[in-house]
Amino acid sequence: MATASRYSGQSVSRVDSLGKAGGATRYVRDLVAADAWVGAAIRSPVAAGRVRGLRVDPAFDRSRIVLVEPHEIPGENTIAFIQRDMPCLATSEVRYLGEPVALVAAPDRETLAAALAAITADVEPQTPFVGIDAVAEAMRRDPASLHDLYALTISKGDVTRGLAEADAIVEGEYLTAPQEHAYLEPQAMAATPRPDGSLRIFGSLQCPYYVQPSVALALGLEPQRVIVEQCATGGAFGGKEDFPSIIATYAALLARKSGRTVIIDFDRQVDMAMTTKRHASYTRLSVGVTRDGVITAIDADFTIDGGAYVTLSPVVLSRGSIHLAGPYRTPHVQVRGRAVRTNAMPAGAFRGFGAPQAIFAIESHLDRVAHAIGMDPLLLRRRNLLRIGDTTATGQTLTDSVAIEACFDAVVERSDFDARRARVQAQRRDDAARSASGLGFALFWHGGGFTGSGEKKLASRCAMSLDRDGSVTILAANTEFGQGAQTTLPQIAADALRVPLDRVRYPLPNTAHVPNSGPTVASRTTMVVGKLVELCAYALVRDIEQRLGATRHDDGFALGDQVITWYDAAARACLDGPIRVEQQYQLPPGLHWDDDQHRGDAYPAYSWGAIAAEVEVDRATSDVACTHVWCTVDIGTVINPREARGQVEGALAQALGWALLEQVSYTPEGRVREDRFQTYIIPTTSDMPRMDVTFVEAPWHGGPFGAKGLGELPMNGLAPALHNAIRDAVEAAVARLPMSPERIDAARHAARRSR
Amino acid sequence: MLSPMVERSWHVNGTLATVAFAADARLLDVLRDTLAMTGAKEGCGEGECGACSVVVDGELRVSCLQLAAALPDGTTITTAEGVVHSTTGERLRRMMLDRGGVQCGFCTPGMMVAAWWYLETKPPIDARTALAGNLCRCTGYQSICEAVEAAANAEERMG
Ligand code: FES
Ligand code: FES
Repeated sequence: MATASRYSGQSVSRVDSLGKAGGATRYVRDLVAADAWVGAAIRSPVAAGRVRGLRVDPAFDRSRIVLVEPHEIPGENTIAFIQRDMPCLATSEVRYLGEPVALVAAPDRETLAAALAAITADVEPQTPFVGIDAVAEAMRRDPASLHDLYALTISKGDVTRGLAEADAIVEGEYLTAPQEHAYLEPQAMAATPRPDGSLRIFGSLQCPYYVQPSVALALGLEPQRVIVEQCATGGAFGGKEDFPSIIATYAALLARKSGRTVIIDFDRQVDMAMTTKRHASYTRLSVGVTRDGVITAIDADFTIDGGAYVTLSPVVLSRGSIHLAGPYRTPHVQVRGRAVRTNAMPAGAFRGFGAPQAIFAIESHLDRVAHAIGMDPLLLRRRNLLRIGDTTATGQTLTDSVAIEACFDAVVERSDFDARRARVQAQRRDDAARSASGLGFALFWHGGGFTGSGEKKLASRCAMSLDRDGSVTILAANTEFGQGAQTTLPQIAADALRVPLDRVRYPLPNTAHVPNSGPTVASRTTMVVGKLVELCAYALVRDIEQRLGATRHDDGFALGDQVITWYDAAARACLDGPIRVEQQYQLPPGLHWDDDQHRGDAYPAYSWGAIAAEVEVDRATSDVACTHVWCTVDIGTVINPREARGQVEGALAQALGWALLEQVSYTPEGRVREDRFQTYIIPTTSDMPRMDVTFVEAPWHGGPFGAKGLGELPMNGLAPALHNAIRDAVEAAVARLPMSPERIDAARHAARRSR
Repeated sequence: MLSPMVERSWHVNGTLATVAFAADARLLDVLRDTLAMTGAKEGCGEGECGACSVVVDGELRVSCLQLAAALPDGTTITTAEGVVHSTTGERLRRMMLDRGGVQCGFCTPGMMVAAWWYLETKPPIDARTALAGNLCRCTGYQSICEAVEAAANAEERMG
């Protein structure tokens, strides 16, 4: 059905910004009643060991608190993610420092603090294995010694042959550190027991339908008896994808036992020390290339540190491995992916989901490859670009919506790349200058929606209801946590319905009212759920037409020879109450995916991007200032340009932090060192470059009005662009994030020695 | 263990408020728990993020590090709830919406307070510098800085 877009493509105002800017919007801490209890976990003091039990100070008055021990869990002692290997509360083995062994709730924070001091975990310590350096060392010396949480191989062609056909083979290693989400609102979930034994769970979260089964499993309840409501959520970025399920389950157990509302709200230090991080990675690459710049083979070991339990690591590994070969049509590819177990807090979802780590490696490495054959790195990239008709590393033939070259051209033009490069080179020759300038470039891509058969298995459902007054409500489980979904989905609905935007409501989800439209992850909200919203709108119009025997047209409905307005039609159609329609998502036909071989159509559509970054590296201190970034992305049709720009700029800030500033490290005992904003440094206004963000639109037939995925894509390219810019500036490569002044310094010295 | 209570009368967002609170309470807690003004947020509790920013007698402060009892009777306090009711705050809010300076919103009240203070007191620094004490993880700051600059320019034009 063709529809004139009135709202899609327009920067309409966010529905939530008035309240947020005035301080009126209430987050869970602002909502919870004053008489609610506060809860916390009693945690293991060591990263590996055997649980002996609890130590309780006999002087402590236990009558004022509620304690939940593992044997009191009414359901299964498991946090359900992909596998059921993670206990809700550890009973025998402890696998990371801070792993919960019991729970406590108290009427106020002083009593809670006293309880946590008086009741401690008694664990017999063992030697922990922590950190990406230990993983990298094991990969170099004794890869079989590592324990896989998950492993996979992606193969295309014959990589041995591809390397044999090369004129040069360039090898390299790339490491990345864990990254903390640093959403400004720390994790918080609350639970209220209800008289009928059901539970109301509310808080700061991304995926209500992840929380619901998790709570239900541990409490031994039917899932429908666990009502999950999202509150306004102060940032998430993947950090509130899986983790809220854990503390919601804890709050629920404590609420059930105490008979009161219990909130578990972390302070910043606990949040940083005890919540998931972006997977640290170690990537080893061998890239074969001909003299004239044709990449013949990419051979890679991609290893990520999954931490103590499986959680989401298999899907992070799979997305990372699939994206590793980059947007190039390399004929021979092998990626051996491993998510290995260590004694760190389980790593989790973080914007990009494995792809940024993989793309950092390949895009940094391609500059080295270009250098090795004496070719311009941009030309090398252009020679090997994926185009329509080419196949990706998983064997997917691209048929539609591939605008990587247009992004490439746009960035070259907007940054005036060639002239700027000449200027930067000239500047560098001035030895008296305090800093050395550098210019770097990278290409990137991101598959929208769940990988492979994921969307098929999810079978997401979305509903829409119409009231007598002509107002429409989108009933979806997808959450607003800053990205603008509460604005963009109504834009799609209003266009598909042909009604004014202010007639469409999209409240924060509550599982009692909305079907499971799937999690708010994987850049799927606009692309997948937006499509469902569009389909619901058409179904609703059809429903009205059938009820009234009318036909929709622009000014209303044609009914016999008269025309009635949308509002008249709604009033007549809703005589017996509101109308509700529901739709289930269907992937476009013709997509095939083999889960075991990791082959086939990995994603229904890809978004594409190109980026250039300019830096100044202080010659004395090796401090890096990124001064300019030019970024062009193809996300298909842009539904809301202002909000889309906001997504890109925000992701660029996170990528800049990951690349230059942000470092999570572990002590040998397995404790997170950087657990405060004083030590874990995220970008401030003074770290950010001038950002030039533009869009090219290659609409995808399967998306709503042609839209593709957006949220994660712009996380993928800046780190390697900065790597290449720093390399350009100081003629030394820092193949490790964060690229701190110390590491740049060390790389410069090493390069000087070898010259 | 409980600390003694103290009482203070302050001008909060233009209204005289008499509040009683524990002698060791932080201003942030008094605003949020006693006065039920939840605009100021706790992002870190250590003076690092600026989400709890308020203006106290014309000075920009982080309320998580401000001992409430140290503020004498008659102190003037402006929070995000008050900022939007001023002409400057109203203009600032319009520009924030226009430029896309609001995403998850958790930093926003603190940003609004810091930006309002900047626009009202006109220190000899640019907007970027003025906001360097306020962390935002969502926007990348460009839209926020543009909004504040636009509000400053609009003000200039109006004289
Ligand atoms: S909460 Fe006060 S500065 Fe972060
Ligand atoms: S808008 Fe989310 S932290 Fe600033």
